[in-house]
Amino acid sequence: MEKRISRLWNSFLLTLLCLYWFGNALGIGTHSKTEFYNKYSKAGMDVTDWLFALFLLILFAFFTKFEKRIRYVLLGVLAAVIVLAVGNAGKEGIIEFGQTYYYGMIGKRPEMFAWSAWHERVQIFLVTTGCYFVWLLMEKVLIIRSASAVALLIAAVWDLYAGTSFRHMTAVCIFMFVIMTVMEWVQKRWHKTRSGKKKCHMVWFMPFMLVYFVLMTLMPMSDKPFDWQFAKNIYQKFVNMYLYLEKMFETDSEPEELFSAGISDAGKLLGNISKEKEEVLYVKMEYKIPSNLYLIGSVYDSFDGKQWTVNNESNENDRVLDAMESLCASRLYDDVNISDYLLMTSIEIGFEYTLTDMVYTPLKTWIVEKTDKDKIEPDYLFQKVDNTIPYVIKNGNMFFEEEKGYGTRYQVYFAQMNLNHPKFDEFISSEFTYDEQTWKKMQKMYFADNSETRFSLEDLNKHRENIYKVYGKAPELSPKVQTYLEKITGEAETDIEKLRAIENALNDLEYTLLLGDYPKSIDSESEFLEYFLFENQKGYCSYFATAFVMLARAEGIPTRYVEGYCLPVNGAGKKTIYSGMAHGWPEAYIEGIGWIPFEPTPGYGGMRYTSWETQDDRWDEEDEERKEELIEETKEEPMEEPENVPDDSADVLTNDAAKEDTGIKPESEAFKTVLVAGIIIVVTTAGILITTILNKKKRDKRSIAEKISIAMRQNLQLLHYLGVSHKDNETLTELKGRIQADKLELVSLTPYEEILYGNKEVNEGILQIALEDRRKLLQLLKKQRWIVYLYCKNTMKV
Amino acid sequence: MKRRKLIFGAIWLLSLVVISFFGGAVSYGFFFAMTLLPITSLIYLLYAHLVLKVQQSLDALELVGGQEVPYSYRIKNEGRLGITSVRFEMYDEYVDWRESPKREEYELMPEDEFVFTTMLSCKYRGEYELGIRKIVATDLLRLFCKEKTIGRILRVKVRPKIVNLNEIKAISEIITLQSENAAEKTEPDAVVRDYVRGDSIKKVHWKASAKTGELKTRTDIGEVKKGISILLDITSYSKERAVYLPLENKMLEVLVSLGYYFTTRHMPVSVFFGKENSLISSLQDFENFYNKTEEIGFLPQESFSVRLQELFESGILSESKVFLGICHELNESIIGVAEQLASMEMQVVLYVVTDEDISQYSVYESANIKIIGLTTKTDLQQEGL
Repeated sequence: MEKRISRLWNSFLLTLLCLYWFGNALGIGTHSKTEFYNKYSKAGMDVTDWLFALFLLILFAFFTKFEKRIRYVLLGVLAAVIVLAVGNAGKEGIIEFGQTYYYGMIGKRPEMFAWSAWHERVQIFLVTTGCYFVWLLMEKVLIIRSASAVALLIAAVWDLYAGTSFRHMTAVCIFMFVIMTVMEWVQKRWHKTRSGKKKCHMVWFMPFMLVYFVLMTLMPMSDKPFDWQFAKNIYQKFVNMYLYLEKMFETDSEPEELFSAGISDAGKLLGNISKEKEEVLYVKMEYKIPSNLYLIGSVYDSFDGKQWTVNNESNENDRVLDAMESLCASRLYDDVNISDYLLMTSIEIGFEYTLTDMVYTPLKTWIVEKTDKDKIEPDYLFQKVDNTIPYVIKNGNMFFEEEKGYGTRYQVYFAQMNLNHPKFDEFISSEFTYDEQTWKKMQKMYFADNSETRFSLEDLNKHRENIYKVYGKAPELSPKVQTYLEKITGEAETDIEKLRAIENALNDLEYTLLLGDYPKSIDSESEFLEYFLFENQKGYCSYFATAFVMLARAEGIPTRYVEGYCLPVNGAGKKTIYSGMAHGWPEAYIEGIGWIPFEPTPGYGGMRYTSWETQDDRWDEEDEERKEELIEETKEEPMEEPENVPDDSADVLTNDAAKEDTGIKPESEAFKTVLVAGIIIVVTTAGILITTILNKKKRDKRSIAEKISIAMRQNLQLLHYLGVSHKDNETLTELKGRIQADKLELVSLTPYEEILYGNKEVNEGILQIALEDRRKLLQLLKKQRWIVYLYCKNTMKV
Repeated sequence: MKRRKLIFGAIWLLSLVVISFFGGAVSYGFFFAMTLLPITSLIYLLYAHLVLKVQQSLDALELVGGQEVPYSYRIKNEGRLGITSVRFEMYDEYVDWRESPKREEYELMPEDEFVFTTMLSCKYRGEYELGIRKIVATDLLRLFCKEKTIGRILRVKVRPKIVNLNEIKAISEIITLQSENAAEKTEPDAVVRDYVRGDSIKKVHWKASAKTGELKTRTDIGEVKKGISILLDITSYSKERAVYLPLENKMLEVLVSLGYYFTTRHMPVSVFFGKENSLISSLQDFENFYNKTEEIGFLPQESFSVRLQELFESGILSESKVFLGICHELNESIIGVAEQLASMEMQVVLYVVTDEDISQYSVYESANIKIIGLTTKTDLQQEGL
């Protein structure tokens, strides 16, 4: 009984494996989907398909155990079903049914011969029957089973590389089969004290394997590799905890010695500083960007001679408004060649070992949202999902809602400025006025939600008013400083020229990190300027930026002091920002354009002013005409959406640039299925052949005594199949007596007794008697149990 | 099993790598197939321990060293599912098995039962555990196993083995003399009384009877003459059972064997151990003393040389003809006292139970001092004392 149960379980597993693996190609699962099944699997197989296969296997496994009457009934039912089906289909239907298989085999199934529900049932029957008999073979020869397990593993490995994407249940069945084969192999080699038969003992461990199977079936599986986000989150938490504790134990006192460069909450001017090398942030660029990156951390508006503070009470999103203003201006200025002035791009910014609530963004950022990896995909078309990063605007600065640490990352979309290019200077020297329509159209173009009304024109006007109010307050200059300022800006007419002049003048001073103590007597803007411009004449970025801001404001130009990081960029990829890259710089407001950065710090000009080629730069003189023609053509076209295609100048645009899926394109499913099935058949056949050859060699080497002994055992086994089993503690004479009583044709057991108990010498004659007995028994078996007869005839060899 | 676990661990790590780089049913199936194996094994092992019933029995819990007793255990699977492997870890460091159950591994189908019977003997005196220590069930793939301590541990008390010595070579002449004199009583000083029915005929004082004309019975007065003293070293030399058990066992074995030898030859013996002492002058005395030996405690603060010095200074030892010392270590103090005893015409024998070489002390041997080295494995029956 245990044997049959074991056979049933294993053949069921094999059947499931086959049905899930190539059932689709056979049309199994294309019909009769139920609600229940769809909930748990994406494959098409129905619960009824499982049950049908299981029913067939129970029939096969226990058929001989049923009483004769029940057997006849079952066969009768089967015959009736077939007859009904044939009768229902009719002659033409039968022909068509047969033709579907023909066309299926030659691979040219016309549409009219689609798989039907009947095909499905026939397929399941064939697969189940095949699997049952294959299992019978595997049961006898463990090597075939082992070879099959190896072949399945090879197929699984191939699936990984070829991307054929096995179904969930296929993979589960493969691994179950392999594990069970390994288990059988382990159990077979394990020397233990057992009470019962070794062969059937596995049945009593099946429930645990069933638990294992169920658990495997319930496990989630994804098409994407596991991204270990939880591990990263755990690591992130530990790092943030460490940073938090570190911050907690930082002292507020400031020793009058070296300070580390870096961003702090207060824009203090300090004495000596040193550039340390802690990893603070990283930046990831998918495409090469032409200019170096300046990330804004904090913006300050008021200086008291010692430090910068923030008194801006506005909570408007100044950064986005500023970006919009610039983009709008560039579109109005030159809609065709906007990339000559502003290059739209996006980068990923992430936190390393830092703990802050500041949102670092480059100038002209208009979107801050989740990275591609963190984005939520819509479940259905047109579903709106919010992938923005929540932040708040306080006093003109951008903050997260809470402090963030290691692992924080976000994507920013911003426009790089072609600073230092003559065309850009022309652009920022122009004047612009906006109307409502233009303003709305701009927002529609640059915001993914096609929002026309995120910012109204009134918001822009308020933004401008606030700028003048907060950043435009002119400092009181001493006469000496006033004279100095007039001297350097004397020849400048426009605001840009004045700003350039101030920048150049400050560039002539000395850059140093070692300044000695900052004079405590300085407590006003003018005293600072006096000290810096005339007395000290050296400093680091904060000094220069502060001086620039003061002087620019004195000229009536709203200017602000910014602290952040500057990162030299050379190619795409990931770049780390260290604490030593902290920097301070000024930004001046040009009405109609927005904030424009300047670089008064000596030595940093090369960092700030990296321009790129414009379209004009690329044209030869001979192509002048062609250029004019193009300008004429494009003037007729309406304003276009931002383009997605990158060109040689790395005029690469943003999130719409789709990446092609360059995964391996698998060949046809049918071919792969056939190939794998072929591998299994070849391996199985080879296994059978090798086993047959080895067994034959083994048989040839046997002595007469061994052959007789084997023949005797086989004859007793045949008697068992015929219903006469050799009982425990029963002698052969008693067995012989029962055989005679049962009126089976006499088989000669006498020589066996003489050999077993009488020490009779064995010879060829006795072997012949045993073989003759076997022949008779097989004849009897053929009449009574034909399938068993076939099996015994092929396997019982001496 | 360690190697199999390593292989399994490597395959599991490989599955982590696979799911880190590949998605799909195969990679996740591989990972879950490996990850769920230990979980399934755990469920199986918990079940196995739940349905497994083990009983063990020993014929007696108070034994004598070297004495064989029957031991058996019975294991049964009371569940409805099979158990693939059960084996036992035994307490067998101090036990000799006739047939060791150590390597037996059982597979039990539902309601299967196995019984194992054998004989065992305890090697050393003391109180310790024997039999099954732990039940170890192994899972279907032989990867994991779970141990469980058996509910009822067998704890035995073992008394030291008594070796029936044929002779004590070291003092054979003296012993002969002693045994001849053992029956002697002090005649002129004997106190006699009238014979009463029931008195032993051996106690009849014939001279006095002849003199008086009436049967007179001798009455012993004062102490029986002590000829032999034995001092046992009860210092604890180690906290490790594997070290102190054999040592103490051998020392006690020497002691009880000597005591038995003298008792059977009617030679009274004074035995000193620690602050206690026993006078063994009869079989009953010996039996009482023998029962006490299982309670003799060896303590680290005790010192053989100090106790020897005390006994010598008190004069107790000088009343003996023979002094036998059973110790583990020798030092100059002990040798000094021995020499002093030897100078008083006493025969001194020091039995040193140690596995180290004591040949350096052979220079102190003389006609009256003998130093005999014994190891923990010395067979007293064969090699004698």
